[in-house]
Amino acid sequence: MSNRYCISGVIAALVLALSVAGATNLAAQTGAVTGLVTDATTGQPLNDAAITLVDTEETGLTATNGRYLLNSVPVGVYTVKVVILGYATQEKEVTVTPGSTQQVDFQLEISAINLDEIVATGVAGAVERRKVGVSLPSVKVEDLTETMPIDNFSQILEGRIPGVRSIGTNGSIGGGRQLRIRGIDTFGYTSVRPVVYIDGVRVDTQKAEWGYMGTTCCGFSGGASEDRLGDLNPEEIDRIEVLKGPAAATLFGSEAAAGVIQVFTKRGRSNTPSSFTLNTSVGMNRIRANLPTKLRPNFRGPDGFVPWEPNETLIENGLVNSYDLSASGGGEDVTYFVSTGLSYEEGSIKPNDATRGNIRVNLNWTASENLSLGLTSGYVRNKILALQTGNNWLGIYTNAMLSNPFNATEEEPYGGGLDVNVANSQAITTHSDADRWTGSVSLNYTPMPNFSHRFTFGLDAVTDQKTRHLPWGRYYTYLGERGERNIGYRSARKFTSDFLSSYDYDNMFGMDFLTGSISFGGQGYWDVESRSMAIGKGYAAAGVTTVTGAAERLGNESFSEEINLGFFLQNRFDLSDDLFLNVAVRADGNSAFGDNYGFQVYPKADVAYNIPQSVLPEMVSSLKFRAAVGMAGKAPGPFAKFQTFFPIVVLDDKPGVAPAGAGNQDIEPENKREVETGLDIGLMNNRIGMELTYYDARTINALFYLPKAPSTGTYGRTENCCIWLNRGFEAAVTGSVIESPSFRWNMNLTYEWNYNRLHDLGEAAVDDSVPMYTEDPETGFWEFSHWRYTRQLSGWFEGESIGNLWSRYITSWDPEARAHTLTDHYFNIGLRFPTHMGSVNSTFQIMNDLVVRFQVRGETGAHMQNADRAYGIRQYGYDELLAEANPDGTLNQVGDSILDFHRLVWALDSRAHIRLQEVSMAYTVPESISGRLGLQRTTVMLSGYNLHWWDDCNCQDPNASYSASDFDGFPFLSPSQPRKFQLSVRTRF
Amino acid sequence: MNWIKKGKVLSVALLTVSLGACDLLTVNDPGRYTGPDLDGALQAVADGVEGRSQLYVQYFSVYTALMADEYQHTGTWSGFDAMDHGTSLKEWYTFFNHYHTNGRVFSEQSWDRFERVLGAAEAASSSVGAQVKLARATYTLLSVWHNCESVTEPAPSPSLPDTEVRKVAAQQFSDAISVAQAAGTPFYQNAARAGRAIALYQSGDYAGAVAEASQVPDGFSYDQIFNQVYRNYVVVITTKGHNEAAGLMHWLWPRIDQTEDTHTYIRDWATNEHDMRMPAWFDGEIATDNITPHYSQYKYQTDMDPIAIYHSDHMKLIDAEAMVMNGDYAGATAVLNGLRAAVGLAALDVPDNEEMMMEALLNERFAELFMEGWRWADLHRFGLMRERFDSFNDPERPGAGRPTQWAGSSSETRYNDMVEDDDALRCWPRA
Repeated sequence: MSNRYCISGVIAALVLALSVAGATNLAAQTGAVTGLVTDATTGQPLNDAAITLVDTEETGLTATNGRYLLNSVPVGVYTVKVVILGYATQEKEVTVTPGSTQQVDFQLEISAINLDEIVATGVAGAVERRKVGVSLPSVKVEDLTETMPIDNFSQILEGRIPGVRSIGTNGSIGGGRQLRIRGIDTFGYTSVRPVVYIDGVRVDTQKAEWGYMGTTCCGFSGGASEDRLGDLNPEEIDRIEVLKGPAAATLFGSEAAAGVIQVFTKRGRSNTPSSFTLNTSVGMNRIRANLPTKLRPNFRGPDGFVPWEPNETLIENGLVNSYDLSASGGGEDVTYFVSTGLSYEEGSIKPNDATRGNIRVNLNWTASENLSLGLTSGYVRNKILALQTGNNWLGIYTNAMLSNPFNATEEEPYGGGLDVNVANSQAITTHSDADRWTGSVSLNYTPMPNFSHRFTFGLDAVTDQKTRHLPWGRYYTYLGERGERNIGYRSARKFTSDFLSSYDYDNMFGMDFLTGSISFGGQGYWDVESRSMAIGKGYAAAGVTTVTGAAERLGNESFSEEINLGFFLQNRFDLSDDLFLNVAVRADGNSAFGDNYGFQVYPKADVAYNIPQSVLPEMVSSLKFRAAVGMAGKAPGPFAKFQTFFPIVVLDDKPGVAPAGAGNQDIEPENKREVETGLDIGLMNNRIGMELTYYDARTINALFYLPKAPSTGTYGRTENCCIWLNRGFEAAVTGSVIESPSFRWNMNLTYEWNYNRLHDLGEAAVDDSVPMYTEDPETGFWEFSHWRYTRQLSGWFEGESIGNLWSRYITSWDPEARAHTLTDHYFNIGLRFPTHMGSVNSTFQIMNDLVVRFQVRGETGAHMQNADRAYGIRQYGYDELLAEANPDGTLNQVGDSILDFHRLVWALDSRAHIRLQEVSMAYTVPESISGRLGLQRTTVMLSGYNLHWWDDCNCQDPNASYSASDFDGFPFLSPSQPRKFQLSVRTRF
Repeated sequence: MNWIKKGKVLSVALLTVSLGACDLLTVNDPGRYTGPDLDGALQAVADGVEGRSQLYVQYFSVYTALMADEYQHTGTWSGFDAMDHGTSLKEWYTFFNHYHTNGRVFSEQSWDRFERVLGAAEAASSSVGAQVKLARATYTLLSVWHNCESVTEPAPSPSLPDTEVRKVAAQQFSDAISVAQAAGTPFYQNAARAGRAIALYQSGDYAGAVAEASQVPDGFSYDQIFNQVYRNYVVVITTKGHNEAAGLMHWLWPRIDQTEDTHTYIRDWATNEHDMRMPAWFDGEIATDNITPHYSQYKYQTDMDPIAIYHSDHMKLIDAEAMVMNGDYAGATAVLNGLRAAVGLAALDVPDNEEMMMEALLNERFAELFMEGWRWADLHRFGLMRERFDSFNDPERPGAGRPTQWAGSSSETRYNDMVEDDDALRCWPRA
């Protein structure tokens, strides 16, 4: 197989050689262009507007005061073009004469849609949005941070882009958040978290808890482990672009089936004096006091003790504090952005806090007219004192919630929990201490104005040292009072290298339609990850806390490695000024592919047609049709192809072996084909913009762990088997509702519908049937209806959704026997993933000084089997049962029914809800005041996050998930994400 | 050097790398062995086969105790709750069945490896061969403890009723005895003899069983051994001072004293003396479910305490049972009294009738094999499940419909064409 890769490498080298051979040098007399860019309605200067001289390489950005400067412009007549998100593009003519400085100012009208915006379409370079046939949403981060504090990478994407699900799921500070794009259409043997690039470098997005082997319980923190995306400091980020699916992300190849998120950090501006930005915040976290335990104090423990009520005793205020300082600027050839940040955040259930320090240096050097070099370097130290939570015998919240008030004593004030005293849980210290460096070198070489090359080499290196200490002398389930120390070390290295060449051609061979751009290149990555653990159990006394000091010591180690090489070719045909066709292909080889497989080829094509304005009705300012079809993949597990045996310890500590993976040398990547169509519409002079997108994706060759008959001697193996369908519709409407010099109301609405279905289980499936039941709406009892005939493979049924909840459920209640009866069969009782999601983002600008914004988001369609409710009731801990309890702990008949019900089943509850996600108020201090202090634009912000939600879930938070899984997760013994209140000051000088 | 030259140098470098790194996409897993690695590690293979066969035992000590009348659920796990209430989920068990079957087949594959590497003659007289043959037979025996339909050979293979599989197990123990004899490993020979005796009496061949049992020396015990990684699951999951997900069943509570400082013993069924074969501990503590008093087994006190798989006292119980079947109540009682005397219990009178004799036999088996995983099989063998549970008059645990055997592996029935995928046929005989 490997010879195939040699050929590609040779081709790439030859292409590179040919490219550099065509280089030439240019020189000319020059002048300068400068100016001011402002909002036409309010007169406010506009920051970060992109200035270009059309048909040249001359570009620049406006500074915070709206000013720009283009130096060393060769003499001549030019068109100056200014593009900025949220405003209509403008162009003006300018004549540059030797040694002169020409002033060109712009007053921009607000615009909800801008097809001239430059977007990075993936690995094959940047292009105007109007030429792209796919939906390519982006978020300008500074637009957010100017008016409200953003503490977390995930929050940037929350409720802002239809199709992107980025939500907080638990109350553990530093814990994972849920991130996925366009639903789920995989069995779960590949990650549903999109791949993330920072300045062209693939980065680690680890979140899942690890370190289970040998610890007394539940890895380190038992629930939502540290989210490595939480290492990013939003203050360093300029913008984020999202490639939602294969139609857009084909050129990312064997890793892009779940979408791609590109993060671009801030850069300095040429010919701009140093500008400093200081941001400080202070505030607090506090979990909503809606725990279903408020009746506990009405009862008494065996000694008359009044039980503690978690709403009053467990929930505390958690301090939030952050400082960020950045400087940016640049001269003629060199620009810089330097920033440092320090944040501290305390959880509402303690102990739990996170301290993060970031440093970033981004440099750009224009070495010559055709050569520039970019360096990015970001370092973070992220220390988290993790909350013991989740499905975890040692959890603080877990033991407080699953306590029986009738057992409460002075020693066990909550009532016992899962046999671990809450104070003992709180005595556990669980730390994650991560060092991370992400950096890249990029070389842009443009031997001719229409022929450019870009090389990028990058590395993301993460080292995470985790520790947990269960102190000697305190009792813990499984462990007793012996004490325990766990140490975990995770090292993840991701190397990325990219090469891209682009050649723009015009009227090739004298044919008008042969105008466009051809791009080709290669991309390689090498992922290496190792984990090691040391566990010590059993100390003689308090005082020693090293693994070495323990009587029993264990260690374990794991490793993974994956290498991918891909090559691509793309051509964009500018068939006319309005019609653009883009075709591309990528071929990948990957170390995880079976040896009998070889390369995977991913094709794509998209078309964008911008209807000429002359034929549009007056009300419609712009209209673009777009359609795309593309394919992307997901590589199998790094070692899934190997037949192996794992080492085990057997008998009296002897080394032994046992069968591990059966191996599959035919294994292929899981591929996803997607068709996407849509409209970008501008109405009323582009005051209202609409993006409508429909997608229809098929996951083919889905990776599936196919169990084998045990008598074959293997558990099974990973195979490519099935086809998932995944369809959806996305809408984003952005508009200026009210526009006046003293008041502006902008609104952004998003809506998303998503649906998936298991279409084909492949040849291994067998004929089967599933029982269908109907629910009596009055009683809530279920009755058998009929069998639906279908095919089945290892418990999956054709025609079902991946999100179906399978359970037996209640058919009746017999008050005499005081017992419910269950259905005979498991059946589909509901859908676990939301089908309809939406958000409302509103911004009110009042008198140029005050900006008020809020976000409300909601979702419906999702259900859960409410295990949390069942456990709390079965443990006599929740109000639903306590309301039916007598003072002596006996239950009335209703209580009997409730208890019996929740012993038999996990109740089906809806996760539909509406959430007030963000509210902020930002006041810009008048320059007459800030100027006296030597400050420029200074803003004082008051904000609230995750403030309230309205639901019918019989739970604390319908979005909660103890594991924060991107795939699934339900609110089982996981505290809800806290409300956060902050006061922030942001100033420039 | 100008940039053009640098670019050319870079091109050459890229070309060199491309040509020289043609195995760039090759990775290895340092955490796993490959098949060829194992040809040089036959002892580790044999230990792996034997060790895994032992690991299977601990789960059934707990699960069969829950399905029988030794344990009740006192924690929060729905799977334990289902087993306790006789509504066992076959899905819960499938994993362990899968694990078991997988290990059984690995033992066969390992034997093939020994024959290939050592040659057939040397393999048949090797201690590693004895280990693997013993494990193979143990897997088969364990499968029929609990499965109402079992597969004896790699697929495709017919499924057999449990009595027939026990006969297969007996034959496999004979193979193990032969290899152990040839290898000069009396330990494995005795273990195989004990296993064969059990396989025979449980398939109704009492004469054969007694003959084999008589050759197992007094004091012999073949145990599940625990180590730094694998700890005694009975202790870790159900015992005082650890997780308390299950505790002794309520009918035993009146026979257990409350004691704060140290453990006690379940009182003897006949004399109400402390029976040292059944250590237990109750200090008034409420179990993990926050409701049920936790009466803990204490036969296994630490998570390193071994669990006996085959032992000489079990052989004596075989003798006693064979005598009962032959109507020799005096002889059977004498054997039982010998076991009682060893723990300081008063002798039993010779029962007057079969009912009393069976009561004595089953109670002595309960005590002697306490928490070793045999009780459920006894209730099944003698058809006593329904009667036993009805006698508790416990509405949460009715005798009617309570399963007496596990389902076979769902995976096996689903993917092995030779096994009929019919719940009614393959599992759950009802009391």
